[in-house]
Amino acid sequence: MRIFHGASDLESAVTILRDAGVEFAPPRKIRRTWLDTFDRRLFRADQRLEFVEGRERGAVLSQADTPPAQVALDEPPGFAEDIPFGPFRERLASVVAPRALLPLAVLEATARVGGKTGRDGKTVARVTVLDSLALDGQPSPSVTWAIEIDPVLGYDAADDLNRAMDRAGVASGPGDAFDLAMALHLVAPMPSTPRKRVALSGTEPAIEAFRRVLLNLLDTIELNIDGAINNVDPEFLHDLRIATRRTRSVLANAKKVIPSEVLDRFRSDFQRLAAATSEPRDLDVMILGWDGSVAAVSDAARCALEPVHRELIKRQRAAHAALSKTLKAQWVGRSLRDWREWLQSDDSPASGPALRSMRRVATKRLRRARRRLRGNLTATADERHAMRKEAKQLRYLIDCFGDLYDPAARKSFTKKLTSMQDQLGKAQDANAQIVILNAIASGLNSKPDTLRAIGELCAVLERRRSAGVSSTEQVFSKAADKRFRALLDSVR
Amino acid sequence: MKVAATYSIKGGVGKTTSAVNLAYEASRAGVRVLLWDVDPQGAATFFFRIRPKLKGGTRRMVGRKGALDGHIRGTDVPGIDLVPADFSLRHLDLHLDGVDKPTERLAALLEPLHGHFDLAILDCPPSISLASESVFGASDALLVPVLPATLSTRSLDQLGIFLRGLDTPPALMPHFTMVDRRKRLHRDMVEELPRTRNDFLATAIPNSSAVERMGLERAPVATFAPRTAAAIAFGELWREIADRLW
Repeated sequence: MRIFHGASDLESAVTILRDAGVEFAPPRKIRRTWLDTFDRRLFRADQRLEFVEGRERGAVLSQADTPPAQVALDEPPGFAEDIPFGPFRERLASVVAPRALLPLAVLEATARVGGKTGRDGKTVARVTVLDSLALDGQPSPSVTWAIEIDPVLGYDAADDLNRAMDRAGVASGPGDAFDLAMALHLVAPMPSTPRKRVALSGTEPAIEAFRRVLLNLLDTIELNIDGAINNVDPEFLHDLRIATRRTRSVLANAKKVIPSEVLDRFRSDFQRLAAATSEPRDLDVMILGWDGSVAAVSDAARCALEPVHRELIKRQRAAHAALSKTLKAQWVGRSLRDWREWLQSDDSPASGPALRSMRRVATKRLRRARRRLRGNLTATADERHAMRKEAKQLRYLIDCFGDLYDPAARKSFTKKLTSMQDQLGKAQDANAQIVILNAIASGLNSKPDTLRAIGELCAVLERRRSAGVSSTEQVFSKAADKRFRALLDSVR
Repeated sequence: MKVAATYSIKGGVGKTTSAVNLAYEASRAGVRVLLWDVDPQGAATFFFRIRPKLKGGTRRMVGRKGALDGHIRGTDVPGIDLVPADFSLRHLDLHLDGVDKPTERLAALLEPLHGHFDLAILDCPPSISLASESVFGASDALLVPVLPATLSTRSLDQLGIFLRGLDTPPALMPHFTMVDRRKRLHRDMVEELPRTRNDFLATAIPNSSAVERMGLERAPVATFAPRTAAAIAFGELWREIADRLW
């Protein structure tokens, strides 16, 4: 497709096309909204999602070398699940799920849709004239009209139209109106996402390595904080929470590397931040997994649980409102600013582990974290919860400083660790959900069948909790020790 | 990509009408459709106003170095592309006979298009031949239009017996077409048969002047007569088929 554009004399361009055989329908108002995830997953996958409002309303998913998929919809989709079940939804979900679809740009225009026909009235090229352009409610400063010339597969007519417009000297570019908006810098650029892993040589002083890792995590926190405040997509809170936890894990192992007064202040601040995110995240997880959880109860129980579902959503909204208030609080903004300022400064202890090579400090800190991971998987719920926290800390340390180690050795050890974490995590999630359900049961003025249904659902979750614990391999086995030694030996 | 073929041993039962209208309904549901007109009569190609011509003819298309992508044409319906018919398709059996693994050839031609389309619909000529076997080998489902008449159901039974002899037969999805509810026999068959055969689709396509007008309008029924019983029935038929395919 090519797009021609200009700031004046649209009718001359239209005349060129009419002379070349294009016929147009009467003009009508249209609105086109381009949608993508926060991290532009569709754009990276060379796909385009558009919600069109004109004579009909619907979503169009397009990609090169394949016809566009179109489906009627009343409103722009917020998630892939808002598309009716079928290949369109599946294809979209494979790229974007679980992230929300956010409007990137909204174009309003007066459109004349037309085409050139060949033998037997077959359309051989499609043309759309867009006049009185406004992007995100603002008239475009440098372009007032655009013409999209869209070829029909197997026909050359669009090439003839393009040549006619080129001969007349009309400005053009590849693509459609969205491509034009991007070329004119009228669409916000793609956010740069922090790298997953920071490059480390192992020979740099520990303080430098810690700063770089923590700065990378701070970039992630700042990237996700507005999204968590606005709560359009549960993944913002999820990513914010993970970055906060990783920060806490690194800080927990930063004694004598980061000055103690700095460490004390920011360990406290990030603990407060983490605490604020717990309840809304637990409720997000419970609501996202609701259909899966209630699939295991009887049909009668499923109906009787509807008031519980509504109550969960109500609590989720309240928890997110409280989180939003916390995240907008002055202390959070001040803390993150001060943290960045310190991370970008030269402040450092004068001697000690801070100045030793990162390779040496990381090895020692990892050994210490590994030793703290003790326990028996048949221990109490509190002991298993403590194990899970230690395992997470160790895992996060390896992730953050992972560039120091051989990837194969790292993967070999963290595979078992992750498996154990996942199993204990499922058990922990089930436990948290049972606590929430019991709180709802005692708070709601519930009918007997709702209370019975809550009991049935708790029994399902209890089975899940037990299964999670019993199927896990012991991480402190000799085989795991061997892998851990291999990891440490592989340090650069 | 799922592959469905509108197929019947009998002619004039509504194969092309079904292929064109179901392709349209599928595209409205967000499915990217490739309609492959395998019938030398080229009726589906005619309905979409495309020239019935394959460069190099059928021999080149199905030959050892053949491919479909150079033959695909965009239609006037967004979401539907078409491989046109060509009169040389009357020799499809001969050309398939000259290639390795003829009953797998059509599937092999469709294979490279799997990421580009969600559904291929093959509009087949009325026959039982090597070409039909190649269609069966490529298809996940056979959409079989059936007139509400005793002989029609007899030929459906014969097809069922033949398919049971294949290693991986396509699912049989028969449906009634050209139903005239003023006729008692039609009403009885349409009520009874889906009750006794669970492969029968419940939606029946009525006899309709709107469908007859497709030849004049050269377009799917829903584009020029969306509120007719036939257009509504094709929509419902598509939903039944989609439930079974995905």
